[in-house]
Amino acid sequence: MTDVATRAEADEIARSLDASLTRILSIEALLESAEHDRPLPDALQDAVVGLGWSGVAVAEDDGGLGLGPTARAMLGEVAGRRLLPAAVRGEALLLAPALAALGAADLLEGVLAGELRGGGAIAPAFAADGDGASQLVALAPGARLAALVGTGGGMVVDLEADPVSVEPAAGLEAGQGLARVTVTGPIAPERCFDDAVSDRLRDGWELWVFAELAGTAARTLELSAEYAQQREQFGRKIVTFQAVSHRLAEMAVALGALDSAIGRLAAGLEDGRPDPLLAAVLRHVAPAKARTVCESAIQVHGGIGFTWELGLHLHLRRALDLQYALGGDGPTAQAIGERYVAARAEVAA
Amino acid sequence: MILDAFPAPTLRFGPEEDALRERIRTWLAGRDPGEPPEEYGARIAAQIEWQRALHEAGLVGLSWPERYGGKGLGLAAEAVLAEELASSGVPELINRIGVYMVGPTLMDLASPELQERYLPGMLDASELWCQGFSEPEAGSDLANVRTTARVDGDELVIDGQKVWTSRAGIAQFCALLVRTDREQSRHRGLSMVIVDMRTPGITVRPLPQVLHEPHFNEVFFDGVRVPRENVIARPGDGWKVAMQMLSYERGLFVLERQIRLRGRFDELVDELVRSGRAGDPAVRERIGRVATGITLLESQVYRTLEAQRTGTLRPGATSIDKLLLSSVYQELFAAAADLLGPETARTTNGWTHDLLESRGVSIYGGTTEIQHGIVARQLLGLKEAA
Repeated sequence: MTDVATRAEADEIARSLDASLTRILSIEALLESAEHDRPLPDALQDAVVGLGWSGVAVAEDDGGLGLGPTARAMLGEVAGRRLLPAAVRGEALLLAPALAALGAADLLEGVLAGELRGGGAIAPAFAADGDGASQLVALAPGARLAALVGTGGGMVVDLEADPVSVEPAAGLEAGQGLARVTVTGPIAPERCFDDAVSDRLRDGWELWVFAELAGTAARTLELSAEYAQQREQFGRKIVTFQAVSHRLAEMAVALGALDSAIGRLAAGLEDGRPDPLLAAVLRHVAPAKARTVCESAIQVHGGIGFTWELGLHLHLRRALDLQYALGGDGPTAQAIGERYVAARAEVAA
Repeated sequence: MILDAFPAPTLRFGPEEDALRERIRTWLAGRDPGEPPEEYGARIAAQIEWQRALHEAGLVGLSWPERYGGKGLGLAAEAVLAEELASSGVPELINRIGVYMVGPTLMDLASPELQERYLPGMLDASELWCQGFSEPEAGSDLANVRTTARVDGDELVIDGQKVWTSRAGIAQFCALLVRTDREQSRHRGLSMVIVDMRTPGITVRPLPQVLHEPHFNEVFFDGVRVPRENVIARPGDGWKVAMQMLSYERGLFVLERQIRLRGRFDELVDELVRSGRAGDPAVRERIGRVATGITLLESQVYRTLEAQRTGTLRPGATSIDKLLLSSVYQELFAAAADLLGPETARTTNGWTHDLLESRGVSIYGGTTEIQHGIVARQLLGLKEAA
């Protein structure tokens, strides 16, 4: 259980990372990268990676930060708010902890030091030796390694040495290095892990993604609330129109509810009382709420909200990308229903 | 702003709560009173008897301090009780207005004399409570209260009318919001006074709701005399007392509703499993969407309980609970009618009863529109929000 001291400590780390990212990732730099679908300049990449993200899901004994679920959620929120590059998420939540689980100390050291770059993705089920696995992965510039985490196991592939093909893809989140990674032959057993590891990685990645969705949407609400108090039409501030203020309230309610659910999921993981139904619900509702909030933010800003230069679309793109990375709106709702029906059938039997 | 303590702390259960849960389960086994009778009077009597039995077993007022007859446990203990009672035929306490709302408010703000006199009867349901807030001209605009109380010697003399007063017909006492200072307007000059509902001059007239059930009433006050010491806190503090009482309308109160909704949802899913319709992917998707709403409400309630436990509840925060409750309630029974089909939807039964009843949830306790205004002004800090 996280005591107050560690929560306060995590809060301090989160605030400091937030300040650093705000400085490094200017909206201009992010838009430039998206416009030309190319990674951030090396200096900015180095500055971001230098903040130590790759240690967030690695134990202290393995050279990581040894953070609990609540602390990781705090950092995920910052990542979403400031649009941390997607490849860094994959490196931090999948690649680094996968290398730790595999006992690949040398590679892990390289990733933690920011010298060895890569990415990671949650993938559908694939064969035990990985052959045939294929997934969209956001890859860092010069990526060497990618973690592919399936439902019943996973692997870390060497993009240069292993039998894999890497096809660049035009991502909805342009500039994030999206590529299709396909495994074309067997991967060595020492680079493959079982379902116990893949489940743990998935849980950690999902919690982070839920927090990231909340953070990215929260940022657009903040911008919208500020804007509504400045922008005047019909001779008055638009926040004085109930249609506008109630829309802002609905955004706040969506985020508040999401915050509560993520807090409860994190606490359950921390206390060894995991809640699979709540996790399934968040897979559906975290992106749905985040997406709605981002869409509402564009609406509240009116014509300006729809411009490239304001950049609200970057948050919407992230919410959409993650919504479909998690399975999409309908399928995730159906999965909750299946879980619920199975649970009731079990009670009846 | 909205996420400044992200992720929100939540009420947690440890070994003590696990032990309590076991104790409650053991006690409950074989004691479930089952569904109470349909007839209103018999129904109320059965519910009173159930709370009395729970009290005798030491299970009512778990979070009340021991000096007030409680067990001095935390809100987590109350949550465990509510969760466990959910599986019984009578999941809600008949005197929940007393136990969860008026009682804690008296502990916070009333004189020791009032506490000593009124708290014990709340726990064993020997004295049921109602709240007299709304009036014909003071619905959403609660500060427009016009029922007056003038001082006459040691007494207050009350004249006026309340409306939409739940349980006025069965309650012994009412926490009544009145205007004691006619020179003052709006939020100032109000007082909260305890009124014995058997006092001469009180007329209770049932006001059937959309289902023609007598849940609420119009209450008329004609020269009703009440001792002056029955004022909770000081004269003129009525608005503060009312807001304190309404803040207790969230937390455990909403937890009970959420648990009841979860129970109804389980019944719906069971019915769909029995009929084979639960195999349809579209039906499963709809089930998933309703389950989402209920689960979000659950997390929200545990967050609110934790904030109440640690005294960190932000002004306006519980409007989220109310808004989620309203939408989940309405979605659940709309889904039930859709999924169970025309045979169910076109006949009078528990599902259509609850479908119609669900329209009230987005009105009572502050309408959805009022809640949105509160969120905009208090939670988002939009001072100029309409």
